[in-house]
Amino acid sequence: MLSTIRKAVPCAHCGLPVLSAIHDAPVFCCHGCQGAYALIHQLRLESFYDLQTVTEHHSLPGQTKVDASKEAWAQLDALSSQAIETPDGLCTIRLSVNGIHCAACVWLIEKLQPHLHGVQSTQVRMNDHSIQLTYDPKQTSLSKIAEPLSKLGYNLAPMSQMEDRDAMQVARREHWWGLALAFFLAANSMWIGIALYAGESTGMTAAHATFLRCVGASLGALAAVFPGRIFFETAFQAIRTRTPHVDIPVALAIGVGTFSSLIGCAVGYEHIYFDSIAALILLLRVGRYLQFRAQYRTGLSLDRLFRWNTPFATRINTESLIETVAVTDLKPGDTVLVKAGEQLPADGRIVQGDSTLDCAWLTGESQPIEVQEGDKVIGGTLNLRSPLKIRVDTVGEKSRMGSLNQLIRQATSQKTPLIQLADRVGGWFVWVVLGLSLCTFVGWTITSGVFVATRHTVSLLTIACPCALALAAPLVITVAIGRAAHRSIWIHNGNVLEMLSQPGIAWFDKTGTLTTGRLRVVDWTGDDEALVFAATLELHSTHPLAEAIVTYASTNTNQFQTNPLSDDYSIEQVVGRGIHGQVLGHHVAAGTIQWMEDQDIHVKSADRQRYQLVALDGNTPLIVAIDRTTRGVLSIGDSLRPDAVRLIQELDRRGWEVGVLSGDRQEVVEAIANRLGLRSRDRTHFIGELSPEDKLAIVKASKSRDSGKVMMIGDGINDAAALMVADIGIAVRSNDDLSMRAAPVYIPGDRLSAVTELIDASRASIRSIHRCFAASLLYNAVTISLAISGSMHPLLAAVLMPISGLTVLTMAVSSRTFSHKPSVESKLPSNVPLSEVIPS
Amino acid sequence: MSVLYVALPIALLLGGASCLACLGCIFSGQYDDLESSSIRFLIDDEPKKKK
Repeated sequence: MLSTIRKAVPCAHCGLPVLSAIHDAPVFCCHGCQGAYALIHQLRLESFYDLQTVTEHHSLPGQTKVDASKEAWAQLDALSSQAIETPDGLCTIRLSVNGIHCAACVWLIEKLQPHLHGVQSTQVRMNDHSIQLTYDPKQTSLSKIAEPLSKLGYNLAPMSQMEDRDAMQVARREHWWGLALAFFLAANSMWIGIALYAGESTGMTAAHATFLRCVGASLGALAAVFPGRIFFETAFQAIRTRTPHVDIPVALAIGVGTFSSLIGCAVGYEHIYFDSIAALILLLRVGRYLQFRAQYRTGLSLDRLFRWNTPFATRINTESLIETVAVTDLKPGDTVLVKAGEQLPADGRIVQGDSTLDCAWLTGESQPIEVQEGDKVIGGTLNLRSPLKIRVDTVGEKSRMGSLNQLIRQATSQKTPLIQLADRVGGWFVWVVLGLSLCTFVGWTITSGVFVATRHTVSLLTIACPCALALAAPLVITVAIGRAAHRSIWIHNGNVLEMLSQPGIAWFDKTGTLTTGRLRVVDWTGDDEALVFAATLELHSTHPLAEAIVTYASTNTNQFQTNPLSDDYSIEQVVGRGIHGQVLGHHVAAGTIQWMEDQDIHVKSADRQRYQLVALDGNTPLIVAIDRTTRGVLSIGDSLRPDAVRLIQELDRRGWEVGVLSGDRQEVVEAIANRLGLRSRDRTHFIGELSPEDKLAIVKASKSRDSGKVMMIGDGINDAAALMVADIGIAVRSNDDLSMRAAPVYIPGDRLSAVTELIDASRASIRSIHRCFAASLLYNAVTISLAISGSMHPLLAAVLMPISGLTVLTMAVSSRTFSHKPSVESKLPSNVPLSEVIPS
Repeated sequence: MSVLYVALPIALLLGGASCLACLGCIFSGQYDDLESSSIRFLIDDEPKKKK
């Protein structure tokens, strides 16, 4: 008898369910986890697991796909030439770390430092997943540091060459210091302004007033020269390219205001505008920073996308010796060895071995494919079963993965930079304001002389400054992004909110997006006994279908759990056809119908019909025969996500067209479309057998067709290019995959309903922006007419200026985006890493 | 009110000094990563071993 009962228990390290017979000792899903668990205990860092429960994170390192050997890390030593030497003989270097998920990861890596000989400090930076290592080159080397880290599942790699990474970092610092300085100058000149206005009504000596004015004017001038410089720069550029830009009146207002304030200060004129100017510069810089931040984040997450592939390969050299080399060193004609569980490093042909490959990232196909000697294979796919020897054909940029990476890069660089909503409204606003101020200046010069004219013009320019206009859009969008993050919808690109407000066409990926992406027995026509026999047989198979059958049998029959069958079995597995063997003295076979016929097994006509029906339905049929007679048909397929149908209905209600793009077979796609209730729709909207390039082409084509915005919802690298090129790209994923966060919108967990929430929020945001615009324009219309007529008292201007800003601020913050309470099922899923729960 | 001639420059100098300190922090890279520090506070110090 099989003396053990196999039940699903969580892996001791990563918590993934594992079928195991052991209940009283830690169980592991793979060697990686076992190694990591052992190492963590050896170093007495068990509190890692406590922290892990605190953050309730499900996917942990250890399931490392790269199991590079010592020699592999020797590659890293070459990098030590890039390390910066500190005066005390230590070296510092920044490296990229793959596999960081949450607080526990940061803790583990930093706590490892005392155990690493010769390492002075390890400082992890979460936002770009990098580590700053300070080590003594005499005592240790990068390879020695990398080894224990890799055992824990954190792989060190050189920082990727994000071209403008440094430039972005510098720009970020510039924004910060601009903000700090603008805030300091604005705050100080404002209270000097208050003192002046208060003095005006209570009476103060002329000497004091002059002193305050001089100090205030110099603060205002400083604000215009330092934090205000960027506005002059952009205005100058706009003039050179002859495009109207909000920065032109801004720069004009700042320039004329500062100039006249300084002159007014020198000649002892009473009303000067330094406080308004400093406040204006501060508000505008806040808006600029918010916009920049959105771009910066997109850049960072995009950068992460390109770090996902394996950095090392095992090459068999001419003397048939095994050596580990960097993937970049592979040449066509090399032979590489790929162990089970490793990613294929390059495109090539199998020269020895057969196995199953998980091609989901590339094709989106739900089922792993069988490969054997002579087959062409593609780099980046995952070898699931047994070792393969591969002769490399193409490497680097010419390989499938390389060209896909390039496509994604192109797709993103073609994307217009964050459109400033205000720019469009601002375009004509600029001309109107400039025209009006010219009229004002000329008019008042004729009637009352240059001095009065300057005063009224400056007052007009200051008051009419579209600061509320420039601030409204970025503010509303930032508020919406923050609120979305609380619902674990991660928006990287604020454009999305603008795009989603109008209906268009929504393309869905199938596997993993509309479906769960996991194989499951959908239906079984036979009796329990036959199922238990089949499941017992499948227990000994590594085929992906086998797991689905075992899970189904253990949940649907009592016998399988409580009454395990004999272990006097003999089993043979035929790749691509089926499995057969002796169980309890019976001959049991499970496989394709052709294979049954080849073996002269009697196929009942009912089973034959059922088999064909299942195949038509887009599922994988598996016929089960006991003692050479068929006993039933298993139908194995990918199940629809529970909220998929509802989402399609909701989209429909909001006027969106819906389509499905998939790498899977056409029948499967149509079967899914039927189940989604889209039977009656245009057949050209359900397309199967697509490569990532095809998907990209279709999305591009529908963009050029003038029928509204194009939304793409997908879940894999195979959709990445299409996600980037679509107007709105939404990545949904139930397992936490960092690479997918590069998409403009990322929704973790099984929550398709978030898409409708997002659409509603986008409409609310756009309405809110329009309201801000309306308020701002109304305010401008009133104040401009007052200024033109010359009845705008500077005190009134000084009061109205901040009020306009405050109004917009209040309106933006109180906008009703995501205002309704999340429904019960859409609450924050517990498996979201802590780093995501806390918005930054 | 002639104290103003002394008090105002002093106030501005003090403010300016803190503003400079802030700029120093920015350029030394303290604001480059705002994410990990926000979760690092969750990590407890190791309890001191009593012997």
